[in-house]
Amino acid sequence: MTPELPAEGRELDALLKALRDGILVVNSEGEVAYANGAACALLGRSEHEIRGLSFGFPISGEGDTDITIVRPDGVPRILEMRANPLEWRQEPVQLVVLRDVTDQRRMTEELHRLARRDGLTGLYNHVSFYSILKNEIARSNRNKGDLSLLLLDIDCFKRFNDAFGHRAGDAVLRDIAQRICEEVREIDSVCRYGGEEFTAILPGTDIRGAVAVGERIRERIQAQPFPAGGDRSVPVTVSLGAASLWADESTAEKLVERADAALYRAKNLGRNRLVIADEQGQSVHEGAGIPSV
Amino acid sequence: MDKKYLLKLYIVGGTSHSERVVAEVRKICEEELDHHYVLEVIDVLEHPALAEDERIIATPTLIKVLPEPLRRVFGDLSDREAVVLGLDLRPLGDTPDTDVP
Repeated sequence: MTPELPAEGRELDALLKALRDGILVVNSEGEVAYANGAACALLGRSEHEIRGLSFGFPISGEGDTDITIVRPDGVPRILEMRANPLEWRQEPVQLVVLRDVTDQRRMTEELHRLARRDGLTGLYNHVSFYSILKNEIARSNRNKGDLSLLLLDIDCFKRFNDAFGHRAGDAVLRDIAQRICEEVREIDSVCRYGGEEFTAILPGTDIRGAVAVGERIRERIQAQPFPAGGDRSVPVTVSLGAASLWADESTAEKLVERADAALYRAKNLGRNRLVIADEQGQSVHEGAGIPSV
Repeated sequence: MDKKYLLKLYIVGGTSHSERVVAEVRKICEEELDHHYVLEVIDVLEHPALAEDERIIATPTLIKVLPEPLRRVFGDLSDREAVVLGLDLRPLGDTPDTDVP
């Protein structure tokens, strides 16, 4: 590559060629003055194409930064880059080290997604629920804004599962998740709290708003029976507890506890209804003509 | 009077990361150049020919097309100091043209 290199330069050259990491030397004009074999492979171009190429001044901030390389074959790769200033042949240059991290980044992304989501319904899972709720509580306290929580439980779900099988039961869970999502806004977070229990975190919503949303969900689920194998379809209902954040309340656990107590009351009062927390068990909305079990 | 910076930002779009990069670059332009700039954002996957014209290999790359001389930086574009230095951004009118190396 550089015939005028002294002996130790040639040894260095051989070393750089053997490295698995891509090494580029970029001069003060932003042009590539040197590229080792690994760098050429990572960039998907020959040494001839890369030498003298106007690459630009590399910035890697405090440590490493990710860049995306679009190769001539059109496949983007993610490279981790670190740039360090260096004196090279009496010239100030940037030494750029490149490493392909495409597979790691994709795997990390997928793991993050999986860790946050419930596999069956695609909703946020129990762990995400608490982290989202804590963030929203902190935000509400900062902005002195409203925040409400709905807790929803499918009525007599065990009986449905026993009668029609778990496959039909899973379909009900997915379908209910879908219906809940369709009744809330983009900024609301719907989570699968447990087996047949769901939650909806409603930022900027007071208790009246939460009751309206909860009632829409309850009616929506009640209105359309669920497939139970073959041509059969079976009505399914849900009970809800609604709670709003108090001004002096700051823990997620307390809010959930109050919503849970309301949900418990709704169950005791005959199911298929919504109960507001702290209203001494007043059933505010009764299900329309569904016999309590 | 109407002198403006012309900057071109090349990204691979459609990710939260690329949206963040665009926002950060806009912020730097806004604060350093005070409206005296035009920023074009080019998604290299959507416009491979435009990327090829400028021989864009790595994204994000930010190019200062005008005023001359043309300069380009790539990598961590949230590093304001390095971006400003690398592209030689300064408020227009503050410095006589003859000062430009």
